[in-house]
Amino acid sequence: MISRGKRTGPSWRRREVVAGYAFLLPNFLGFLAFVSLPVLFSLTLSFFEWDILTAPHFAGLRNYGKLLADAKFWYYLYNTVVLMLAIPLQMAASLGLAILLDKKLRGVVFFRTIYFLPSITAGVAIYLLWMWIYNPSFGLVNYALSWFRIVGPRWLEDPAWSKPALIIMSLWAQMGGVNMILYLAALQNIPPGLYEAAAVDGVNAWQRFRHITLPLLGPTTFFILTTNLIRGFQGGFEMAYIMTQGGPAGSTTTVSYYLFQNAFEWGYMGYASAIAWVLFALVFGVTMINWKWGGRKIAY
Amino acid sequence: MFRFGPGPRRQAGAGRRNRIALRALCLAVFLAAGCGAQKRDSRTTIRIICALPTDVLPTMRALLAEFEEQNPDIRVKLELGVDYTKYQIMFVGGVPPDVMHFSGKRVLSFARRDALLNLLPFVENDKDFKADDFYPVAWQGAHRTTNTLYYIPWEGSGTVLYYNRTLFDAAGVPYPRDDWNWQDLLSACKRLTKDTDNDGRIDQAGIALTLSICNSGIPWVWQNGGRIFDEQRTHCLVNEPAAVQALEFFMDFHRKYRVTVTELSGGEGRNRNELFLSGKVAMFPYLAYNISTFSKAKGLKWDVALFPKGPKRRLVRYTSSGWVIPRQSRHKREAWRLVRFLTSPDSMLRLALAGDFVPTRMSLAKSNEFDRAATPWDEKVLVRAIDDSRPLPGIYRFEEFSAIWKEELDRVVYGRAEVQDATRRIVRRVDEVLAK
Repeated sequence: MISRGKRTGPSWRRREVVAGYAFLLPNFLGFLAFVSLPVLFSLTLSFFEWDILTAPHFAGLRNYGKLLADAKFWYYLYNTVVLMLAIPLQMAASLGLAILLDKKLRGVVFFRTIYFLPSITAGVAIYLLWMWIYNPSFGLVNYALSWFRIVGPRWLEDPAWSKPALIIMSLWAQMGGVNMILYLAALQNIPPGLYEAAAVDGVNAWQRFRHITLPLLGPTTFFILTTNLIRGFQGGFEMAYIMTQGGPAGSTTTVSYYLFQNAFEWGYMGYASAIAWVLFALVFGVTMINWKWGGRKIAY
Repeated sequence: MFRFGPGPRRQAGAGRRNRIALRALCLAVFLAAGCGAQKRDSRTTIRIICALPTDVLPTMRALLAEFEEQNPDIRVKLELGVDYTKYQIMFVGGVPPDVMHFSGKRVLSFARRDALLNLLPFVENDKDFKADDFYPVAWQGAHRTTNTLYYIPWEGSGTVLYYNRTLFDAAGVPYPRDDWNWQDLLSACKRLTKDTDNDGRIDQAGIALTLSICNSGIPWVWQNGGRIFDEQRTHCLVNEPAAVQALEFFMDFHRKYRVTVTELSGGEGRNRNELFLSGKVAMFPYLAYNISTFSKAKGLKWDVALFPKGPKRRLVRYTSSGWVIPRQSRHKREAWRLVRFLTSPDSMLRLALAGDFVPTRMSLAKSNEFDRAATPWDEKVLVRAIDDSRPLPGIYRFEEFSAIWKEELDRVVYGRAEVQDATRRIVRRVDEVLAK
């Protein structure tokens, strides 16, 4: 039953704290039960050599040493970072779409659904579709380019074009997704009074966007950037697994796909665990930097 | 506190009685269910996991039902889907099914890790099994040694050349013949490759070739007299002149003559089938596994031919799939009875006919029952292809070798390396893997 008592004072504050922890509890219990043990197990495994089916052998820091000297790992990390260039593009596109959908237009709900559809469509379906779109001989993109007498590139089959191709595809798939919804919610939270005051002062649309909208979207942008960076470092697995198998010439192999190959295709579970922990350290470091640097830039 | 409804004490008393009656009913149902469970199935349950096309499943289910009839002490539970990642997890969890469907090239990796049961004692003590009836190449693919055998292959085929008769007719190119060699293949590919609207893009490709080691690479090396590994499997030898020369010729289909659709890296088979079905590709080499798909395609005129001979000989890859029994199985004897049943001539023939597979028993593959005159493809070709076939070299870390091979040859196709450099790198990297 909801208390109708005072919403101030130490007892109310205590109740709030308890309620807060109560809400966190299910997630925390879930983490303890299903995540913490595998995480600790993988940390332990990173000091062992284990092919899954036979007994593990202690390897000390050998897996980490091997990783630092593994040129392929650094190349795949480079691939991962290049593919993360999609993040700012996706954020800009999501913001653009959110601004359009924020207008009180007829049929706006329909368009909102249309833009959101790719992000809830099964990844496999999207990847298969884009494999055909990118087919160099019979694909839609090169067919369209041929109208302008342009011989299109070989897209996913060319190491120079494979990463841009994946960036374009993920831009299409993600720009109308959760980021757009978050921006839309944030836009609707901006007090209209600010725009009215600015209008009285005679500011133009760009100035309104630059000095009111963008700063007030700061926390949302920061949240999206942080979560997308984390996801970006872990990303690329599905695309590589379904579309390219990491090729051509390893140009679309990301750290997560390399981790999968080592763990489940080649039986180097210890090495794969070391990759996972180095990846964790990278993600943690970047998030901390982002937190420290990005936190200061937020307007409120 | 919840109540069924506010009211006088009498009503509350009736509610209590209702609740008691409800609990009694639940208890009765529970006990009845328990009594039912007492009639326990005394049969031994064994699990089998396999990946079969949907068309073949009814035959498989019927066979399992017959097996249960013939073996009243055994109940068989069928599970579907072959995924080697899942298999590994099943082994680690100690719950692998008692009989598992495996591809021949994956057997060694599990057998070397002591996960599979040696089936040789079963085979040798079973006079009716008739191991001599199996193709010798099928046993080679099963990595049979004098002391070990981990896998009983039930279907297997050698690479053949699928071709679209309509495209051949339209281009006035004669159909592939048994005496075709590499040059004949190349010249047919040139005539069948078309840029109909002169926009610089191929509208119809002569052939679809993948860069994967399984589907393309190794047989070309073999056909030119080259070797992949030394006898001890400790060194890779693809930088020897015969192998390099073969790969140069193979790569020229992609980079010099441009008569092929280079399959998308991840499209292994999917695109190729689609392109063949839609008449965009005239030929491609592959195993017998596409027969079933193409036989259902309406309006497609196609056939299979022997893969052309190389400068030294005709030799294609042989691939099979079959059954293994995990060492962890608690019902090894029952599992063997099932494997034996499924690889008996009758079961093998029924499964093979249901899915257009080629049986591993020679007596069946060469029998009149298998050579069906009504099929639009030449079934004799499928059987003859086996005569000049060899399984892929059995090495423990085949998947890693395969990934290295593909990555390096990709670099050649995209002009980032010459064949000589690529093969040198393959040898260096694969030797490192073999040394582990």
